[in-house]
Amino acid sequence: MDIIKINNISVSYGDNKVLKDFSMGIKKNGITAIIGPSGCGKSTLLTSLNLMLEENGGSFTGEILFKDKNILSYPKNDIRRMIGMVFQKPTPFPISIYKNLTYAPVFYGIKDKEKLNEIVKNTLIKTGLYDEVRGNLNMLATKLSGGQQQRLCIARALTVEPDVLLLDEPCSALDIKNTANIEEMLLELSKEYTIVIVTHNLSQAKRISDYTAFILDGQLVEYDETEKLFTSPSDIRTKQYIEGVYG
Amino acid sequence: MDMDDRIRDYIFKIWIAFSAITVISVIVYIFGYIFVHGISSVDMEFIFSQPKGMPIGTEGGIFPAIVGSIYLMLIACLFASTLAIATAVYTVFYCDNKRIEGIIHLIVKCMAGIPSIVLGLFGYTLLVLNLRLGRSLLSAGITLGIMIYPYIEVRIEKILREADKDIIDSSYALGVSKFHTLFKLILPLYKRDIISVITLAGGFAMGATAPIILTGAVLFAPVPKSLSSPIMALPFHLYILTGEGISLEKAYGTALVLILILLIINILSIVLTITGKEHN
Amino acid sequence: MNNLQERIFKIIIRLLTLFSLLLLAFIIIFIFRESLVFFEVVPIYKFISGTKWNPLGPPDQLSILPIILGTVYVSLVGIVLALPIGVGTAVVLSSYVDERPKRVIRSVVDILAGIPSVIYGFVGLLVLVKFFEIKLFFPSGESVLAGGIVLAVMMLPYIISTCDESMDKMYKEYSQYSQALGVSKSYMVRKIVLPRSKKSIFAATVLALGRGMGETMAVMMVIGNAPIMPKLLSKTQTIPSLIALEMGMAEVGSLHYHALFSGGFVLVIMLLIVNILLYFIENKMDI
Repeated sequence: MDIIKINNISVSYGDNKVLKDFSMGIKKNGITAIIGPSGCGKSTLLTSLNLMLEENGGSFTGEILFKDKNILSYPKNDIRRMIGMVFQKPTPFPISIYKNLTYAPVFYGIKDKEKLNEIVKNTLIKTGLYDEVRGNLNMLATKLSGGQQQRLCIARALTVEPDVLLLDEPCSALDIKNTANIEEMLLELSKEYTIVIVTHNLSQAKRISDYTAFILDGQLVEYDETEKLFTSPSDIRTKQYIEGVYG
Repeated sequence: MDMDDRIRDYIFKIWIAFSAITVISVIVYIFGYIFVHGISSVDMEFIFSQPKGMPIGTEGGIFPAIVGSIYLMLIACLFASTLAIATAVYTVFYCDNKRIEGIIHLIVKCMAGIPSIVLGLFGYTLLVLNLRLGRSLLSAGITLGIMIYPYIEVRIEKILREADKDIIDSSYALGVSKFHTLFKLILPLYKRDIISVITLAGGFAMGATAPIILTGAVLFAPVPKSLSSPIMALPFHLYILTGEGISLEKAYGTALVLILILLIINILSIVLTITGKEHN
Repeated sequence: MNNLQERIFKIIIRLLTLFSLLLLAFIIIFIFRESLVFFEVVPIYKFISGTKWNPLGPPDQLSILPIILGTVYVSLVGIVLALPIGVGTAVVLSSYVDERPKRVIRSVVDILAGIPSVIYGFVGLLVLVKFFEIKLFFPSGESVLAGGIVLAVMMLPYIISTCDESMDKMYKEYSQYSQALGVSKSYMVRKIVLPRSKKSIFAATVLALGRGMGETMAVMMVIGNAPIMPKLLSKTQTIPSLIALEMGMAEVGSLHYHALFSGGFVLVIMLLIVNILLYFIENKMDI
């Protein structure tokens, strides 16, 4: 069952058309990877899904359904709460770890201290940070290592109990060990959440995703089970990309 | 380099050296002059007592003027920073029309260019006469506030514009409103820089004479009891003591106190900016 | 709840912004309204072309040509003195001083900008005017020259910081390439940094001119305040000091009162022209 359905959307920044007549569905739970060369529209696709597109000066036509309802019919902050996003560069707020994690819940009206503590604890456990930072919750989040910062950002996105988590090349700034950490964590999270990950790293897509979509020049070339797409792609362009022709 | 160019190079070097030395000498001279002449008239009594004597000001101290100036600064800062922060927040976070943004910038720039005496005239007709606030702490404070508004607006807008875009996006991506993002994240994050700007502007307000001549400053008044009382202020007091030839000795003292207070404000502002940088 | 909060906040921000921007309109309207009463009695061209200012005489003796000229003259003297020194200092600061002392000097220059004008007037009166009278035997130390010198000192920080900012960028951008060519620092500054800073030097000049024309206290205390045709070594009067000195004495609603507003109006127009010019220089001009 598709939790998100994208029906014939076209996305542009001013005169620059990035996605053209684009359609795809995203299955509930599991990990969907989006691959493609730089500038093909992968990140733009993500920002369309949680309406961050308009903050960056873009706009789209066509329709995007979330749980079978047009995303534009939801209040904007509800959509962003239900569809969380983690950026390429870790962006912890320069405040304490604890406050990073209570920032959004407080906005959504949770005032109870115990409840907040619980949210902090749960999200830290889910992201495997709990044992590393439990004694230092008041430490400035920007003092964490790069990998920890990114996991904190994922934890922060989880604090508002989203259904979907969008990740825009979350590991591109990290080393192998931290990447492995995060991949393991994403696999764990995918039991509960729908995860959409944009990645440059084909082996990463192969390792963790259930479905993979290959985008080229703003169009969906192929979308299939990861296993199938990587072993016997049906489109010649997919094959070429996987073999490293487009780089 | 040929001969001509060598001479030109020589003249160039003399010129820039002369300029730098002149500027440094002028700064040292002004501070030195006021310090040397003023130090003998400044003591505890001068700072903490009322002006006395006949004509008033020839003896005694400047306490009401010090307090008056501080009050004026506070009112001006409060008035100006409320409006300036609102304008800056609007232009950076809410205005998505480049034209309107351009118009706002032009208006703020024009306001910055209005001479302080004209602001005094404006305060005099609107506040003192039309709104019947009289020559008072409030009238003078607001007039000074209008004067420092553009200064604060321009600088706070710059701070907000240079604020980390990724962090703001991350907050929006959590579905958090602009209001919450601003008050819980951005403003607390940059509060030191913002306070530093406001403090500096307060210093300008405190040193200004022209806007308050017509709107509230008087020759003698006790420490103000309410917003509607007329007030003494250090720069005006200095002007009167000199202009009316009342007491040169007291004038030197007043000038020194004024400069010292402003120096403290400046240093405070610099410290805030530096610790703000470390904090982030 | 959150939506309501956001909506209310947006409205408050909009209202406050609108109010702030309307202040400019208010200022202009109020000054204009009060001036209009006067301009109905004395036409504006007579007001700015006549040479007599006598508040106690008949209406046609309320005109301010000498005062307008005085305002411009004092500022021009200030610019002529401050520009070379300010630009020279900016050159030293941007190209010849290491980062650490540079930061210290910049804060000192900022502090110079923060010294109240009344202090400049005070020192100018006690040092400069006295010096002119006692050492140089001028008939009157209070003069256009004294006003110009005091203004020049006040303009210095504006000129230095405006020029320093762009020169610093220029220097950092080109010094490496230039050094690689083995060219001396002074040669490079003369051939590249200075010519390419023309725009900011011009902007600084206009900015300082505006500041000078609008300055009240410092100028008022050293120019003698006589509404006569300005000469370099004799007393003069400027519009701001005229207003500051006479407004307190003018009876509210009298022709004198309205004439002073008209003076303010003329000054604002002069300065708006200067500032709009500056705005276009900064945004449009590309020298």
